[in-house]
Amino acid sequence: MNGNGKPAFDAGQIAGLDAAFAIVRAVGVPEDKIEDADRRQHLVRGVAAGLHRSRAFLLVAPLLLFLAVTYLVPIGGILFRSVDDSALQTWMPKTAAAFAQWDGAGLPDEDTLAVFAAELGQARKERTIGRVANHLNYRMSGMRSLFNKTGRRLAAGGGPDAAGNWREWLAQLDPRWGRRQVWTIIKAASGRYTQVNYLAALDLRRGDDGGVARQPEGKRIYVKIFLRTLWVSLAVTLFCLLLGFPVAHLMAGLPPRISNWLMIMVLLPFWTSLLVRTTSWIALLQSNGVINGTLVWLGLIGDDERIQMVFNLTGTVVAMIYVLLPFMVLPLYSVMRGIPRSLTRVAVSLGATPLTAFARVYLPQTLVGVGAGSLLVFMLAVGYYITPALVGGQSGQLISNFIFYHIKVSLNWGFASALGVILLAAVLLVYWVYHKLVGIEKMRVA
Amino acid sequence: MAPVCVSFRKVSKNYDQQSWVVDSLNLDVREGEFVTLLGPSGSGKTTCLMMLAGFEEVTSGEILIRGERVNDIPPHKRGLGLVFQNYALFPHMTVAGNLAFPLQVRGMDKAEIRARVDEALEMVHLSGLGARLPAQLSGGQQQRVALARALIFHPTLVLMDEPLGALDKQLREYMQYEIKRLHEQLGLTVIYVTHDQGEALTLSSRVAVFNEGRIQQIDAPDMIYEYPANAFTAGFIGENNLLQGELLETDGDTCAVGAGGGRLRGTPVGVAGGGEVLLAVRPERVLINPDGDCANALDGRVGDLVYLGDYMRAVVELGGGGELIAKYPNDRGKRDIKAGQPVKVGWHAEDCRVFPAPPRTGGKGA
Ligand SMILES: Nc1ncnc2c1ncn2[C@@H]1O[C@H](COP(=O)(O)OP(=O)(O)O)[C@@H](O)[C@H]1O
Ligand SMILES: [Mg+2]
Repeated sequence: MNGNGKPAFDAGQIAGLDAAFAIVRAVGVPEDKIEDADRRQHLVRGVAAGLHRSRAFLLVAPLLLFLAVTYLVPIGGILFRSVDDSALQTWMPKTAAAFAQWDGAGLPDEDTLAVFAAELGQARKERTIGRVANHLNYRMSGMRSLFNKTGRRLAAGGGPDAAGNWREWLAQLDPRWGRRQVWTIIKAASGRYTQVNYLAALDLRRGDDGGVARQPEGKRIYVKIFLRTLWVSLAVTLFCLLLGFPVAHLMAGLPPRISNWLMIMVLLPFWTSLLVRTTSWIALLQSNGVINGTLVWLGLIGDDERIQMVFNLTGTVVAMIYVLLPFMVLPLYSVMRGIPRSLTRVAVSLGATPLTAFARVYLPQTLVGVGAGSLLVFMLAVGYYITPALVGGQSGQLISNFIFYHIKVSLNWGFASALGVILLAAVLLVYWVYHKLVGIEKMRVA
Repeated sequence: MAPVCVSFRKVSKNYDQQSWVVDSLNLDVREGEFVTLLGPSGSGKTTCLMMLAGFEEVTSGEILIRGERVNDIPPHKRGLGLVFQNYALFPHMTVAGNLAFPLQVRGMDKAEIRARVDEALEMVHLSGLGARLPAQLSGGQQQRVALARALIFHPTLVLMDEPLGALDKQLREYMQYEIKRLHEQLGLTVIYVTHDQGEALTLSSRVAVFNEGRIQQIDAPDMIYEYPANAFTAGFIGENNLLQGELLETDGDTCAVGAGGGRLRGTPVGVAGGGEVLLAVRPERVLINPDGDCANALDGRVGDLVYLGDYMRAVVELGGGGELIAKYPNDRGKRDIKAGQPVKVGWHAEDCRVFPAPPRTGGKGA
């Protein structure tokens, strides 16, 4: 009577096995031989599985290689560059060795200066002086011109006469050579590695006593920018969550025909260039833009009270929320769609109010999506460049804009790398926290 | 008779303003009854249950629980136990957490909740599994948790929507027994939805046969099987031979029908006058080489013959066209019937029910 369920076992299969054993028994193969054959078959299968695995590995190998070349190598590169201080060692090795010996008190002695002068003149002739000069110029501006000027004179055969000494000759050539600070910088650069980039990135510096001290008030920039980047990213993540959660929830509850349309609307911005979309925010938000225009037209604000909404932090935050919202909606939607509606129904039927059912049954199950979406948006926001660059003005610049500046304009790659590494460390920290809270393996993105 | 527990009064439902998913449904379920809604998929069974539970709005008509109109009572205040096909266990809560949920939302204190959870686990033979997550249980175990959760707050009215649909056959039979035991032990009123007629016939005190949003027949399982009220029920419940024919005459308890190249006698069910009719004879009521006192006898030839152990199943090709299925006990006397052999088939007039032929075009009532 009992209709159409699948039987627990396939009767035919069992019968087949039985028959096979019967045959084995009938022809009298001893049981241990069977085991032997079994083991052999196991072995064969094992080897086959091994082959299978290595073939699978070959299939993913290009991706792994690609990742290694485009991801791990560059990250290793910036890690290295951020601490690299080998310019002096490479291009003026004797000087580096001599300064390493110097105790740093007073000014260097004559022998050290003689080695320095000889190598500087030589470097000028061999045209390698620029490498050292540029490198040291990041430590103190003016170093480049000082080196070039001095090198030129030395290469032309300049130097103290028999009675004179290097210290006086140099000080005469340029008074800066009479200051201990210049020599300290050269000594600091005599090693292979340096922390100077990281110190600077955290608004710290080496004090005259060699200890770590904070930068003077007016030169403290980066900690502020890091903090700004952090809280802008958090704010953007939070707003994206607040805006995206209801949308995703709505889409997950609608029949596919309608939710597909909503999905297209969510994705629509992706089909337009980011640049165009970001600049269109300028048109909307600027002082004589659409929003201000409307407000003035409605008489809500006076013509001279137009609100500054772009080229500042507001512009950055608003435009970033807009750009990053889909990255919140997609993982949320994907997780929510997988939560059966019957669960909240059953909770309600068990006596929970709709609110309780939402809070205790639905919400906990969306957390995986909330985590994934927030992580994604936060990560993207922390490193966001183009939007703050276009609509951020002065006050809306984030750390990536400064990294860009040091790579492209000041050409201080070591420092840019240090900023990048600190950013990376912060991101890894967030990952770690996420992993502890949710578990990275539970991440569902789409 | 026990008082009425649930009644549907002219309840109709549509989702799209076009077709009635449930069409003017009247149904009274008494306290302690086990009523099954049985019908093909899409016939509106779930919709009925969801309207009763409060998750779907009633388009027109009213639903009463113990005499009280519940149309506008929100679902969480209806106090019904509800079991779904997919178990609907909360995946982020342990088994004990799932069971405690209905008690927690009722503000029960912790000690009592623990006692009740233990009791419920015992009731469904799952003691000791309280700390597991639903994903760590087998399908059968999950369904038992779902059952226990629906019963733990002591509802007296329990709705089940194909609760065993996802289980394999063996487990399903075991769970049928469990459900029946709980029904009797706890004195529950159960409204049960299934599309498995075996399940419906085994479990129910009454079966409501659904098609296209209407109850085709509602009666005790044996009555449904023996005395189908219309062509749909006759075709849907069990195996039936359905022959088309033309009504020739009716006289009291029997009628004459022209079909299969002969004049056949049957019991008229809602037919009068003339017109197209449908004859229904159960295969086990078809007699091979019947005695002389049999009202109907047709010539035929044995086509396929299937050996079922205790039964034989023969397809008999009729001389006048068409074929009949006959199921007969594997008696010594009938062992010599072979495929290809000419036979006579017949049946008694009371074993053959004659219904008005259903309209050719299917589709839902507007
Ligand atoms: N939420 C809904 N919206 C629109 N149509 C629905 C909805 N739920 C069910 N239906 C339709 O109502 C009919 C009956 O469905 P249902 O009650 O689930 O049938 P059953 O449980 O008997 O299989 C089906 O045709 C189905 O497509
Ligand atoms: Mg259904």
